[in-house]
Amino acid sequence: MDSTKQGISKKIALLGSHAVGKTSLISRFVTREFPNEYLTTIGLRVDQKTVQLGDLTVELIIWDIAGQDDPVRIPQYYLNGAHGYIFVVDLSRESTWSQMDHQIQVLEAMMPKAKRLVAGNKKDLLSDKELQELKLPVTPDFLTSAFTGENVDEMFHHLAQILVHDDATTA
Amino acid sequence: MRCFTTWRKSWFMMTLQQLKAHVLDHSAQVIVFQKDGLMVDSCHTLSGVKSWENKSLYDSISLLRSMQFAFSHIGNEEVIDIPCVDFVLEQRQGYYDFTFSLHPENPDLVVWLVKDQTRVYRYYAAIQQERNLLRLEKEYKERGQSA
Repeated sequence: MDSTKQGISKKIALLGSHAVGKTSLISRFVTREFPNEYLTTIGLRVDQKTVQLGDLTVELIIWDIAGQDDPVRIPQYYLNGAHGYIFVVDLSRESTWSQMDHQIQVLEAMMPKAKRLVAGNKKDLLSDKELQELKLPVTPDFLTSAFTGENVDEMFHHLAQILVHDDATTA
Repeated sequence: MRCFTTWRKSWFMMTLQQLKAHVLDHSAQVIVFQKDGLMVDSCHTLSGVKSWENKSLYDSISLLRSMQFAFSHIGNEEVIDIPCVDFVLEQRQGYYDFTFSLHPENPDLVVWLVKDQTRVYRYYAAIQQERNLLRLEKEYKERGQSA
């Protein structure tokens, strides 16, 4: 599914517990908006956005998957064929990251070929001191805020770059 | 009472097969497409999907575009289940269960069964929303107490 008329197309999934901000991150990235109220995602919603990496156009097809504490419960067909995924935690809620090492391990088994990024979201809710004191089991690749937009574009672009680079090295 | 009797009579005149078809017509649609995405046929029971006719569904629907690989490798007995998709079927925004399988008489074709489950999943979404908000409230309260 990699090649489209425009360039390269990649499926990515956003995963993590409920209310960590997966849908808000996608909304910020795709439409530049931040939803005013929390609305639970159920099942699946698919969005897409095209990013430009130098001369290369990359279409990211983003599967927004309902929050799930136990990844085993995610339907396997939601994850099949994913080139990459972003595991999102809410920095302000320990319950969303206390088991993240185990959750990531399970996801790696379910998507052995997919590239992974970890996002520590809701950065805006913590002070610098609180951020420094956090001891997450897995260090996030990006500290993001869907509310302010901080690091959101950077994170999606970085994942696109990783996926393109992966193509180049495996070709 | 008279109306009720007439209504009952009209239902009893249908065979069970007709009755089933009538009920399913309002909740499901079958779309058939080639593995390259070209739409071949649709029963149009939920939506006319006119804008997809004679076109590749992969150009119009990003979800299907991201599943091209799966369709090209789908097994004879395999059924790909994608439940609870928040999706716009032409103008109809709702929650649908999708299943994909090979056409029983032509393995070059994929049968896409669309089941409209909007009513059920909206009910479920409302419950889930309430549940998640309660969990959030509890967590923030506990954090406030321990701080």
